[in-house]
Amino acid sequence: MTFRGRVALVTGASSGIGLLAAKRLAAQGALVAAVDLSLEGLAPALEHSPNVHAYAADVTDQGAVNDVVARITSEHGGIDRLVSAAGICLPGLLQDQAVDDISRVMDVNYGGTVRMVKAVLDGMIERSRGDIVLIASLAGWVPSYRMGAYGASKFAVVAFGEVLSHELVGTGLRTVVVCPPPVDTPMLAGINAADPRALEGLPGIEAREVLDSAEAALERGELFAFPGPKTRQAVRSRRLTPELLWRRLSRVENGPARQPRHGAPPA
Amino acid sequence: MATYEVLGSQVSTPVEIRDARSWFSTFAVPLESARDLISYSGLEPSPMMGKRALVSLGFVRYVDGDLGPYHEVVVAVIVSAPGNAAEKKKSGETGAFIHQLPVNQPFTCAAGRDIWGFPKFVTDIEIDEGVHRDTGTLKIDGELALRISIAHGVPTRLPDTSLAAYSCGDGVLRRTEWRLDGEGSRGRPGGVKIELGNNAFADELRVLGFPRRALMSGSMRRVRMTFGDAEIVDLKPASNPDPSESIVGAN
Repeated sequence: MTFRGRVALVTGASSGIGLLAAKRLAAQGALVAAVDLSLEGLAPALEHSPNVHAYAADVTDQGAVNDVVARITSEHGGIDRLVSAAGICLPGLLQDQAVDDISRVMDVNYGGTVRMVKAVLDGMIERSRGDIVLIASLAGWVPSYRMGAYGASKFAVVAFGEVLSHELVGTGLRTVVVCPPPVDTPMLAGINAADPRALEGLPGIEAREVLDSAEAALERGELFAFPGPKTRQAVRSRRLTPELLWRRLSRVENGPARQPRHGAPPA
Repeated sequence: MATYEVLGSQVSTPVEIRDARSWFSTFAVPLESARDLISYSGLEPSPMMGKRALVSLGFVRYVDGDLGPYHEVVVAVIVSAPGNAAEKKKSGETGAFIHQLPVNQPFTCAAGRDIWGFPKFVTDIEIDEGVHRDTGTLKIDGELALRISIAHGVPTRLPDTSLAAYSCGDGVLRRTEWRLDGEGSRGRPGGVKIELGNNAFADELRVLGFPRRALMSGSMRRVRMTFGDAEIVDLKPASNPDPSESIVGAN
C-alpha cells in the first residue's frame, strides 16, 4: 500500500513502537503527524525527515486531543491512518498500588485510545477510508502478577478494538489490534527497572516485528496481530488452561500452589 | 572527517545508518551492454566468465540513520577498480558503480548528491512485504519504471562487507568507502521477477538484456552501514607515472 500523500497520526511517537511507526510511515512517503506529550521529546522523530511534523498533546485531555486532530486535519488534510501507541506501564502488585496510579494507567492506555479513535473516526467514515492501528499487548489477553493495572487497560483496548472493528464492517475502514509480548523499548527498560519481577527480565522482541505483523494483519484483513514466536500459544493456554497458567505464575512469584479455581473453563 | 550543510542541517561523515532493511538481486548481463551503460563514468565493468558483467538491482528501506527515513532503489554495476589494476586486485577490493539511486525523500536526496555525488532523485517508491515475496516498485511521474519482486530465500550468513561505491555526478568520478553488516540474511539462486515500465529509466535497463533468471537474490532484515567521505578519482593515470597521485583525496 502506498502512503505517498497520505496523512498518518501516530501517538506516543517520542520513543519505542510509536517512534518506529512514525519513521516507517515517513519512509513510505506519508505525511506523519507525530504526537506526544512534549515537542522536545519528539525530536528523534523529526530528524532529517521533512514529512514528519510534531504536535504536543496529552491523550488524557479530551480538549487537547480534539484540538490536535483539528489542527492536523486543517494543516495537512484528513487522517488516513491512526497509530495509537501512547501508553504507560506502572508495574507492581495491585494491593500495593494507589488507586490514582491504577486509574492513570487506564486513562492513558485505554482512555487515550478511545479519545484518539473517537476524534478521527467521523472523518474516516466520511471519507470511507482509514486504518486504525491500536497497540494493545499480550497483557491484554494474559494477565499476570505485577501487571494488573497495565493488563486491565490492555484488556479494555482489546475489547474496544474488537467491537469497533465489527461495527465498522462495510465502512471501508480497517482496524487492527496489535498484541505483542514484551518489546525492546524504553518502556520495557522502565518496567524492568521499576519492578524486575514483573516481567522477570524477559528479553523483548523488536519493535520492527510488531509493526511488520500489524501491517501483515491489515493486508490480510485480520483483526488481531500477535507478533513474536510464542504469542498465540500464550493466548491459547490462557483461554484453555487458565488455572495451569496461574499455578506457573505463582511458582515464579513464590506464592502457594493452591490458586483460586476459575469455575467452568471457557470453551 | 568532514561536516556538510544539507538543507539547513549538519551532516557529518562517516554517515551512519543504524537500521535498514534491504533486498538485492544480481544478474549476469552481456559485458558490452553494461560497458555502454556506464561508459560515461570511464569505469570498466568487472568481467565475469569472459563476456558477462554483474548488474545489481535492489531496494532499501532506511528506518533509522543520519539521513532520516526513506526508501531507495539501487541500480549498480560491479566494476574493476580503476588505477593500478594489479595492485587493486591484490587488495581484493570490489567496486560497485552506482548508476541510478532514486529515493523518496528530499533530505537524503540533497545529502546524497552534495556529499557523494550519488545520482539520487526524488520519486515514488513503494515496498510491499508479502508472505512469499517482497516487492519494490519504482514509479516515475506516476508511471511504473521498475518493479523488483524477490522471493524469501533461505537463511544464509553474509560476511561483513566493505566496498568501494563509485558515483559519477556532474561528470566527476568519486569513490566512497561503504561498510555494511547486518543480521537476518536470506538468499537463494534466482528468485527474482523484474517488471519494466515504458519510460526512459526502464528502457535503459531493458537494453541491458537481463537474463530470465538472476544469479542470486536475497534480503537482510537488519542492515547497518557507514559511508565515508567521497574522494575524487582521476582516471588519467597513463599520463601520470606516479600512481599515488592517480587518486586525489578531496572534500
